[in-house]
Amino acid sequence: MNGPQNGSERDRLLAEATREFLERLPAPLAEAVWAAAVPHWFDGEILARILGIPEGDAAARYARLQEMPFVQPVAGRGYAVHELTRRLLLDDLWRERREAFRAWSCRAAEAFESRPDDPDFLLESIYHWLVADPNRGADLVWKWGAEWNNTFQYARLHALVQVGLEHEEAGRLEGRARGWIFLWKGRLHILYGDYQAAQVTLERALDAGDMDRALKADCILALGETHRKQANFRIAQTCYEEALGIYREIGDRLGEANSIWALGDVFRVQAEYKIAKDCYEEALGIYREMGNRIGEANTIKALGDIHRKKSEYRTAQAYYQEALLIYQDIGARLGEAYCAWALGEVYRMQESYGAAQAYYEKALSIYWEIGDRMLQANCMQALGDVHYMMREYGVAQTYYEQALCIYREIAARRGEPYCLRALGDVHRMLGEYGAARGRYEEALGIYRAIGDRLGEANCIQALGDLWADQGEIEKSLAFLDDAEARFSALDLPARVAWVHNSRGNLWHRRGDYAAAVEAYTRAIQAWPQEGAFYRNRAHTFIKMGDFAAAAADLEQAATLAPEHPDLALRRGQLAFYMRDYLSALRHAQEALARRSPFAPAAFLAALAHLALGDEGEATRALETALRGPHSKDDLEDALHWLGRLPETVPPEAVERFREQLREALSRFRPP
Amino acid sequence: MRPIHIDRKAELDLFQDILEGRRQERILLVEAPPGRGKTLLLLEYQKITARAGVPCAALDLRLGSVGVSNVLTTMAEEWGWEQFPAFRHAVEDMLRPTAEVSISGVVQIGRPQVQVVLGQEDREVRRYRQRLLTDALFQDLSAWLGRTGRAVFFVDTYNLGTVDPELRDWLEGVFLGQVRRCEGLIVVIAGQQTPPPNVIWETCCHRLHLRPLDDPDDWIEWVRAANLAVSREVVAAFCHRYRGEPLDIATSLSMLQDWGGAR
Repeated sequence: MNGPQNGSERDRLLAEATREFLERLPAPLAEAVWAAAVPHWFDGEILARILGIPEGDAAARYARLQEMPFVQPVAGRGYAVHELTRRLLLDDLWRERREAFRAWSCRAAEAFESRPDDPDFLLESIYHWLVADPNRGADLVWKWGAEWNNTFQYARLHALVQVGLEHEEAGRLEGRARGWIFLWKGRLHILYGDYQAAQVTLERALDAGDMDRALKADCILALGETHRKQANFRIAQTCYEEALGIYREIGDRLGEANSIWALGDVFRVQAEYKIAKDCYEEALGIYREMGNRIGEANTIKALGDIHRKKSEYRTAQAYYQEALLIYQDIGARLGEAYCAWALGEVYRMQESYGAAQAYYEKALSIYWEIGDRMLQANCMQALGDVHYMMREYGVAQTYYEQALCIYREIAARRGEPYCLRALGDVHRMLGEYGAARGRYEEALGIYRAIGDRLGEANCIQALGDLWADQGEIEKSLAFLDDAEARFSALDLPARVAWVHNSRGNLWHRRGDYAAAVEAYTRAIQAWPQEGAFYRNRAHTFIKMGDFAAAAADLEQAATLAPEHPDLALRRGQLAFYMRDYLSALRHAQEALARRSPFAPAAFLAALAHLALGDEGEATRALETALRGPHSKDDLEDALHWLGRLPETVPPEAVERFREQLREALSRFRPP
Repeated sequence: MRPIHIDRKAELDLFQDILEGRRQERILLVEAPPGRGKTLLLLEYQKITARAGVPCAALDLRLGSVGVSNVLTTMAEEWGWEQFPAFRHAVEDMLRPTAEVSISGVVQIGRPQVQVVLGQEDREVRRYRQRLLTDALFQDLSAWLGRTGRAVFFVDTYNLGTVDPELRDWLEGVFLGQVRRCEGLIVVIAGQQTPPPNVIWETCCHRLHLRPLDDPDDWIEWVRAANLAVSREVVAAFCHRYRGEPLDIATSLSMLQDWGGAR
């Protein structure tokens, strides 16, 4: 031996001692020491196979090895040369007797290959092939790396990388074998979120294996992933396109589909939906052709995402349903949960709150099962939103509070203020103004602390709405002006329009209908594609008795959101004011079919029945409406409509309704 | 094999005290550079444990693919799956595809099943499942130790540079935190760098740094057992030259032994 490679004093001394020790051994025994140093552990059979002699002939040497000071027992496996001595011996063996090293490694690889069901034996076999036959070793690293990566057996993947790195650090790894080890090391860095380290490692993989086209494509694809994760979308796109070219060149269809799918992701996050959709559809075709069901489901889900982003909810819904079925079929629970959540979202956006609730609950149950706290909280928050929209404020409050607890527990700084603001909204609806203000201000403080300017502006607008509810006009307008300035600075015309809408609501409730119409008109000018502004202005026109203007606004609202339940409600109210009670009833029932419970529509239906002379049905409808969730405003509106009933309605019936509504108003406390 | 830790009496006494409950610490972290005798000391501890009739299990992290599932299943396999009903039930629950399907009596829970339920794509899911299974296993362990009294779990070759990062996080956080709460369970971990101090379990932990064996008296018994005719002065010279590193000293002293004839 010429001395240790790493040059430390300790290594030098031990190397000398080991060399002198070996020189004093009989040659066959010294040879057995060298051979025993090749594997990480050995027993009598493995030693005999590495030496290439019958086990019986190796027995005596095996026994003597066990007495040597650098040989240690390994539980359940046999013995091992101490790692320090082993490293020094292998350094020398590689330098001085490389062919013997390769020959022994080849025999060791075959010996350990005899038990492929044991992962430690399999890894040990790959470790030896990397030296004995680097190409075969590289193929095995590629094959088993993919297998363990695809089945999420990351401890084994880590071990595979470790055995390769042991050779690499000793300068024994070369060519594509080196490249594949670095590829998997890079992939592990991506898995653990260390993208910078991943990029450095993947570049080394590219340098090492330039002749292996599949390796090059996989490296570039993985590099693309590191850039995408860091929001460098343009570089990611270049990587994916380059990888795609190589996969096509070598005829790797799965690699091709994966690259196209990845390109779709890059375009989707940049809102280039048309190109993204084309990519997903192309990838989908290949996945289907190959029978790759997980790829198929992932791509269909991604197509759903595109349509959801484009507010094409029915198309999105169909894609999610299809993906959901595949995920259920192949037992991919995360994908199933995502689709259930996404279906909740599309139903919520279509105001089908019952269906949305069912899907959110399904997603929540899966996230509970697999234990993802963040996604549990997201579902609870969404369920809170759904129950809020259904005016079930108590249930909404419970969900928001549960979500808030989880967000705080996992320090999710964006989820926490959202829930606080939503809880403020619930308190506001319950008339608990002090509590509402406390929540809004708490949310505002967090948004300020994390530098979320949009969240901050939303809270300021909510505080403006809250002061409006309390009749504090000056304070309300001050907050709304502040919110408008902030939204303008953020260049968010839609949000500015909603501030104008808030002002419109304020003036409408104060009875200053001219000011309300002016505010709603400004909202429409700022964001003409929002149907709510036309519906609200129509409501004010109805109060002003300008039925033609109201009808025109409702026509315009119908072109923007024809199935919106508020549209049916406003049409019903217009008909009621125009004393067309049959149409009013039909529209109220349509509104109730689109959203249930829906208190204003329920009260309108009750009064329409009364106007049409069906006192029994009217009474039942009123009782149902009073049992359901309703607001103080709903009761006040219903009392107002009593004055628009025809004279044919018996006065005692009108008085009975009035008393019931007043009584409800006097003890008003929403559920 | 030569027991090169032969004069590590203080280290053996320390373990004896822990085993017999004379010390409050139940986590023993043995740290030393390579060749200092950690593995052989652990083997000696295992012999002491066996002689005391205390159940023990051991895991060597040098054998490549050790992950969280291997640690959990090693304990269950060594001490009997029947002792771990809550753990088995938790694995069954995770294997169940839907709430309506029962797999009881169909699937025998063992190492492959634990591997499957912990083999999850999402990192958070894996962590959550690791926590759930660990809780269940320690619930069973507490009940079992209530009957048997004590058990020892040994982990060898714990090196920060080579251990799977996920296993390291779990072992240093979840696992040792549970060990602190689990009366009767003793855990010994040996490696070149042992887990760093942790506020949860540090008070329950003793850190043992194996010293070099640089006193010739440390080697007297070893020299006698190896049947070497060398004086104390020669041994002292070796101790000095090799700075008390046991592997180096033992290797060089062994040159003096007759192995069947020098070449």
